[in-house]
Amino acid sequence: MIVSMKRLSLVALKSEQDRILRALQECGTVQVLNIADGDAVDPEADAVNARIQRLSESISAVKPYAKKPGFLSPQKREMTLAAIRDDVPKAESTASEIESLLHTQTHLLAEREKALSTRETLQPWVRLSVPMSSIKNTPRVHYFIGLCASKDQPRIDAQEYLAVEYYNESTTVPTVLACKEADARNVQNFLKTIDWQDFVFPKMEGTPGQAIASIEQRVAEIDEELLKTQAALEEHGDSIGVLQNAFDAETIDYDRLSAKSELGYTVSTFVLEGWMRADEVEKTEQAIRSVTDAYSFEIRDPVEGEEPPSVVKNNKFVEPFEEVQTLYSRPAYGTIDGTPYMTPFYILLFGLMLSDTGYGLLLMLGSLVYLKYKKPTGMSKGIAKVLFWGGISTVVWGVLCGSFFGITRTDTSGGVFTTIGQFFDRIGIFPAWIDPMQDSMLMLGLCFGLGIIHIVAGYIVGALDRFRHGDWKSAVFDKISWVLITLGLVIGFLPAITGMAGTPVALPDIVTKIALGAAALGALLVVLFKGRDKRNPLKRLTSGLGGLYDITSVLSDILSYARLFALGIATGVIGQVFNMLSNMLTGASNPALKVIGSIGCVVLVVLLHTFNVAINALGAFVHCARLQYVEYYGKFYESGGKEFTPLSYNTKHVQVSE
Amino acid sequence: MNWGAIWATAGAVCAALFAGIGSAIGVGITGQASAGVVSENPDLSGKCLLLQLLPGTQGIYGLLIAVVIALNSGLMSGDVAALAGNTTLGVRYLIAGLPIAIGGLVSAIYQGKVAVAGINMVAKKPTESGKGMVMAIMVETYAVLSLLISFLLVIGIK
Repeated sequence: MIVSMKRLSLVALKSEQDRILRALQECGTVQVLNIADGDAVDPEADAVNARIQRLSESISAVKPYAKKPGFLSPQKREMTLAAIRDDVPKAESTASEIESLLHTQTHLLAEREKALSTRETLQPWVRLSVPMSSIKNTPRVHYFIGLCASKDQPRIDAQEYLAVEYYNESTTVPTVLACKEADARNVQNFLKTIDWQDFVFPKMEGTPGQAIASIEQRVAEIDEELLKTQAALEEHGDSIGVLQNAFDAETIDYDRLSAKSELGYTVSTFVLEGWMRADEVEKTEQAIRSVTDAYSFEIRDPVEGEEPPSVVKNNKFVEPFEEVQTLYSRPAYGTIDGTPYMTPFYILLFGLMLSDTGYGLLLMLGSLVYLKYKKPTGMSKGIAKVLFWGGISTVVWGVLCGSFFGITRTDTSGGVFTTIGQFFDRIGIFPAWIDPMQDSMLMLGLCFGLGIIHIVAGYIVGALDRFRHGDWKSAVFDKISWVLITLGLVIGFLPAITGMAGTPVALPDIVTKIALGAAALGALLVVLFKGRDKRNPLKRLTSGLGGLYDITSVLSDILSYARLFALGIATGVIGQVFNMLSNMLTGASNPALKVIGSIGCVVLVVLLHTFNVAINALGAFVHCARLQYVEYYGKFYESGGKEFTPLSYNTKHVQVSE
Repeated sequence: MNWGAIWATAGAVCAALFAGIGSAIGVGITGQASAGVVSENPDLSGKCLLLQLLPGTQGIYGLLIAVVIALNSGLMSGDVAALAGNTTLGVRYLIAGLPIAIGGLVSAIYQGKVAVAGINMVAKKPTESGKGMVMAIMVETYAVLSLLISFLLVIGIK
């Protein structure tokens, strides 16, 4: 059910603004709307934001050194607001220490990088045996220092007025040329004609060899300092909890402060406009009343043109499935919440796609353990509960279709697997109903049958919704007409369709005639009334005939349910293949090898089935969701609702408790 | 020469091989995209992994059909007498394996591309990973349909 929303206008004294906002944030019921004139940002909010940035950098810097939370420890620890606020000063000082460590680290790394690249450029010059600073122009002699291509060496040698010294034999040769000052210009011009690159020695003492040695010594020092910085960072690993607490405390403050800049102001009052749920009005006013009596609290219904956020409310059983719906889209405000109508189908179809008792038990247990120990919130909590219900359904379908970790009545994997299979065969109720491998056409028919029920249910939900809004024309002409067409055609042609599959279902003649008649009536309704808002009769008729073309989309919707069968088969057969592979390890005749093989078999079975259940549960989750979104919701759902984001404790690491 | 057995083996090989190649490409390109996103934001690795897994299913479907062909034709147990001199039977296995071989190959590659786009979306809007998964699953539909027809055709061979 979509919760109706109220628009709140709150006016109160500026002097009490902070306390009121704190109370509202604790209450967590009001989404503040931005009615501020400009987009001036509260300077205090800016400061808090800067601190949040610093904390978040510190957290990611020390995260690698923090103790990993246990595999089964809760996602968020429960703490009071006061407790996390108390951590702020300590976190601030830790964060500034970490910041300066990071700063040092960056500097050291940059220096190291630079030193190494200097060493790289000096390396070719090691044979130069005089201090680098000593090669400089005198009033009579001009020096040229550079790298020349070895192919140009003969040309340099040919210049008579040059004294030349080469320092190694690679393709680019470190070279020092000397000439009389008077020839300097000629030499410069000559150098432009050959492959010559000027080189400037770094400002360092001694020969290149000495310079390299001193660079290496400096690099060693830097490495040592880096290790020290690293060690200091590592020591801060333990304070990650404090940093995270402070991060959340500051985020809470930031949210409230940035809400402040969205309010309207007069000289001595402030105005808060916002949305809240109609069922939380009382609670909200209570929160304000606990702070002050000096306020005006006005609420009204949303008016035309306003788009309130969309919130759905359901009972405990249906609630987790809201997350599945949210993955698609929230319902537009004032339309219909599909969750309660989707939930039973989701559970039913999810189980059919896995249909293995063993995998169902694993899913149930897995999601229970996850919920109990990890204490997830929000979407992961919902999804875990959805998987729990899906697991139950999978167990039931597993019994109906007779599959247990891929083992069926007719198992041929050998060893213990076949023994279990034979046991299933003896007790005779496993499969309790249908063996998809033997009766594949029947199973496929069942999947299509469920699909038809699903689609028709979609039209009926749509029709009921239209009736509720008093739009009986749309209900009858757009929804019920298609129920008639779909059901009529399916029942009318049932003998013919099942006949093609080899097991014709006989229906009394009168039934098929009525069914086909109903389909014809439905088609007539569509042709005559699809274009009922068009005045031109010709346009109206073409619109109606065009509407009838939708029958192809209904047909493709039905065929889409073939995935139920295919995915069920995929899970079962792959499980069976994995059993077969594992069993091969036990085939040795030597007793010692047989023991080792059996252990290997057990390990392999566990690993392979874990993989299979994981990938197929993912597939079942998403494919089942798709059947809801496209085939089912397509018949009645209106998407596009906006998220409700009240001012509240929006934390990342901590669950704020009372 | 037992041509029937050879053709049937070719059918099993095609199913596993081509669908496997498709999945390898699909999972490969999504893996590259995931690594890029995760290097920026390690917290997203779980969401990226889910998206990366999606184009991997075609390889599994191909393996499934290969096994069903091998079981049904007797290649698994080594009892291939029925295929001896029966080229028609063998070629039927080959043709029945083609839908998942080709459908799997192509759909896995395209699903991989969609999943890469989904991963890029997750990088920008981590809360929208579900929508990315649904988009990728739209492509998988056709791999599932290929699997279905291959399966029905193979088990229909008596």
